[in-house]
Amino acid sequence: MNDLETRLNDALHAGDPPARDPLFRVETLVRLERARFRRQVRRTLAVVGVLAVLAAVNVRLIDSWVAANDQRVWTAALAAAATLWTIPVVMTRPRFRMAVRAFGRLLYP
Amino acid sequence: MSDDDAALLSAVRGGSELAFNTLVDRHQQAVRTFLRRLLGNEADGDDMAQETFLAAWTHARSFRGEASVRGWLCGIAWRKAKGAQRSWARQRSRDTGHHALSPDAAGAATMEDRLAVKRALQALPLEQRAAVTLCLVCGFSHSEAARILEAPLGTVKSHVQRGRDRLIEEMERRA
Repeated sequence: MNDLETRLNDALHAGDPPARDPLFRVETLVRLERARFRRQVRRTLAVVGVLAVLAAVNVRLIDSWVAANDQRVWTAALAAAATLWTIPVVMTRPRFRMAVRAFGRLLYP
Repeated sequence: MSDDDAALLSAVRGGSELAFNTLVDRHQQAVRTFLRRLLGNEADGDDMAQETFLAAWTHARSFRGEASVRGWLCGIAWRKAKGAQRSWARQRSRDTGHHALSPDAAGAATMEDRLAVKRALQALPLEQRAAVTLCLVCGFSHSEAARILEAPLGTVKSHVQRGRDRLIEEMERRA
């Protein structure tokens, strides 16, 4: 290798990032967490949206339940609240994700 | 591909963050080096490298084992970089070149050489720059680079040869 090639090689490798960089790894993980959080918020909003639409479509029925002080309305509200709380939590569980992936593989082998 | 990398990626597919940590640790240098040279800017390169690892986490299933994990990651990085080509053009016009060189990483190369090579590298067409970086900086073979860039082997070989000649010409001109 002549002098020029050595210089080219040195210049090309100058400023390479270090072989180990914990800061970069931590920043990547923070980004991953942020992306997950955003996904979770989007899912929650989607669920809220669907429930809002369902409520709007069935407003008369719900109205009649409330007027009659029907127990079903409180049960439905409780179930909706539980779903809202549970779905995003369950979706972030590795086992749930693995199950979804396995199901996906069954559908699209 | 090493067995270690295969096991690592299979654990990443299963959702293991520990495996993902190791994957980032093991391959960050190659991906960052590739993107830094390609974008001509360290901050943008590192930013896109993080995006690349996030995409690898999300699409770990798309790895078919045809290339090394490092090659697969660089392939993701390449596609991301190509997609962001327009914003680089703006970046390149803003970039003063000299200021983007980190003074703490001088190494064996002189500042003049580094500046000359950096400018010449940035003047190369995108695909040629990518081929030069993969083969001369990241240490990939021509065939691996061809797979990463999804380009014919002959094209990659010619890109590397011409690119290298241009870099040497630029260094000679400045000497």
